[in-house]
Amino acid sequence: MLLELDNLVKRYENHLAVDHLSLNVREGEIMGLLGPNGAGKTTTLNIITGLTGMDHGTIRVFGIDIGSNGQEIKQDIGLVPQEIAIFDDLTAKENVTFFGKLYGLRGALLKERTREALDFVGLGSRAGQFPRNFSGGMKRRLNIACAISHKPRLIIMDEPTVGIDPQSRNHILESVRTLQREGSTILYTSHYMEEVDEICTRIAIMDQGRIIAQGTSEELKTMISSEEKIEMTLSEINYTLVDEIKKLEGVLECHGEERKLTVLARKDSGLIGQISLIIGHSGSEIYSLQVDKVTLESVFLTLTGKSLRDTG
Amino acid sequence: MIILQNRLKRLLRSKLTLMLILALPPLMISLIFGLGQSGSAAVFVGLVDQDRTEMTQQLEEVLGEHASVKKLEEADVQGEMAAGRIELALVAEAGFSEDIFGGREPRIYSISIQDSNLSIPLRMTAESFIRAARNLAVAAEGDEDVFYRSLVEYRQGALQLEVSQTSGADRNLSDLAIGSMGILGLNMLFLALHATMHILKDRENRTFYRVMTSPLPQWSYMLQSILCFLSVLLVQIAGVFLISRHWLDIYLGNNVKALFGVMAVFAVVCVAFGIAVAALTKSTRQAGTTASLLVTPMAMLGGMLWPREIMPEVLQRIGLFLPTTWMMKAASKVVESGRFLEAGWEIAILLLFALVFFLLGSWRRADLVA
Ligand SMILES: Nc1ncnc2c1ncn2[C@@H]1O[C@H](COP(=O)(O)OP(=O)(O)OP(=O)(O)O)[C@@H](O)[C@H]1O
Ligand SMILES: [Mg+2]
Repeated sequence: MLLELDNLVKRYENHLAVDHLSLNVREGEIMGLLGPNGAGKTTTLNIITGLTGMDHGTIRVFGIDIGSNGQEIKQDIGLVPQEIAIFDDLTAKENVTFFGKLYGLRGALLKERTREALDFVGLGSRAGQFPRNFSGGMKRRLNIACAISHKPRLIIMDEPTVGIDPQSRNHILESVRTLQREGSTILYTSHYMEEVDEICTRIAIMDQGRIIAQGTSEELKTMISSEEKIEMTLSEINYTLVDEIKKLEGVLECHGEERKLTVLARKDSGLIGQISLIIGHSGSEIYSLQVDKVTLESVFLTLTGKSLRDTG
Repeated sequence: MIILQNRLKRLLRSKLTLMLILALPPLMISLIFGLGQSGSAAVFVGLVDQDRTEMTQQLEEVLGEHASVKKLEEADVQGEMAAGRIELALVAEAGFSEDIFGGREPRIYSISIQDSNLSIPLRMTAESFIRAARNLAVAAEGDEDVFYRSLVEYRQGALQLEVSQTSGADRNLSDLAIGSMGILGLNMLFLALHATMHILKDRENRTFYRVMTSPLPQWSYMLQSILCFLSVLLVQIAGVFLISRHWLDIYLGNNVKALFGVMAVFAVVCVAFGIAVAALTKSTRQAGTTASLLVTPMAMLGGMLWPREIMPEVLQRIGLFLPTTWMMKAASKVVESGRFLEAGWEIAILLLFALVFFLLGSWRRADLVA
């Protein structure tokens, strides 16, 4: 395990920001930490990077307890903070150089890595410019460049795509994948479930300081979805049709309204074929058919009773 | 030294900082004391030379280094002055040189409508020249050749010679030096607060937190920051000393190194004060307000803008709780005595202030992220 969080607790006055949180991240994966605003994501990351103390728990990074050798661990971590942390009065290049130096890069290697990092985030041509004239997306990308020039084993990204244009966002998502391919392990925090679904190899869903579910995107979806919903528009509906469908093995519920037929069935019961056969026999015609896909959104909704989007 | 380098680069990139370091203090000093016009045609002095000797010739040249000299007849003085064409008139009566050779009080007197910022330094220049000439005459034991040669030497290295011979005896000159240190001290406070504000800026732009996630320990971050602020202040002191001596012709006492030492100790106090303000306030805005509310009264009560003695007893008492007061006391003692250790007690108190400020500044919350 590259990162092991065991039973972390962080209390702010009478409010538990992190509530007995345990999480393991394996080498080489992109672990997504998905949760609404205030879930405790940033607090968890702050505990890992030593910015915040914890009230209880143990953390092992690269197999080393962070209490015992903080400096050595920090050397191999790159943090992309949620709030952009760059110097407005230094050029893009000077920013990346500064952070590279903090991690011990010097001389020719420093120069090379700085250029690489800037090219990587697509700011190579703006190396000499001051970030105060950058767009939000460009600042975000510079924010990332500052965290990766020392090629850390573990990259922690806290909502790196918040509030930016789709183009910068795609660029960032693509770079996260590239970083993983190049051997880094990434802990990726977000409250955009599409994003996490798209790039993460594993996902932990967090709410109110706790991890309420974790696994691959598929595992999470199967976990809550033992059923699927089939919606059809037909040329006509009659009661015998509805009754016959109800009799099918695996169908939990069926009802028709005007020309809309809704069938709730156990997942993967392969009923669509049988249903369309019955419809054909009844002399009705199918105009449209839609099977509701389970999304992380619905997983979250099922687990917490609230919508990610509403809170996000 | 990555943080030190980073800070210096960012500080010196701002024109405001550069102005605070080197432009503002000399400007304030020359505005307040009316100096710095030397050599320019802005000040006119009338010289009535009834003696007409090599000696008066030399006097004219000395004055000419600081103002435009107008040769006049005694009868014209009143009219020229009334018309505002001259600030000051000096009348060297016949026998002026004789007196100097004889080591007597020379026959020269000055006329001015009112002592002004422009006329006082000129009269002081003349006075110190005459005093030096008298001393040299005594030393030359009546040998004119020796006398004039040493007079020329004196003028080339005016400050050094004057220093060893008048050694603190001249109130006006040391008052000027002490006053200048007050202005410099005020500027140091401003510069220190301006610089330490960067600590808060780095929290506001979040870079501090990111730096803290790197292997750099926090003590190193603070130490390097302090070194940066301190070195900027030392450069300021050195720069202002140089400008004061060579441009503004301010006599800084006969032990400039000791005076530099006093100001360097005060620099430590200023940085510590800035660190404390940065630690105890929450934002640059709050710190800016705090600073402007504190610095000017500190300077006023400490006697940086005028002598402490002219303030009511109560205010003088309150001043004793401010480091500015002790800096001014130390500077006065060192300028007047020429010995650093003469101000040992004041220096000790200043260091105590620095310690207290540093302690206040290192008070911090358990978590870096608040
Ligand atoms: N310094 C603090 N003092 C008190 N409460 C805090 C502090 N920092 C965070 N909290 C609280 O802890 C909870 C978790 O905050 P955190 O910033 O970790 O959430 P998050 O998941 O990162 O949210 P977001 O998506 O908005 O970044 C919130 O309720 C927040 O109000
Ligand atoms: Mg957050």
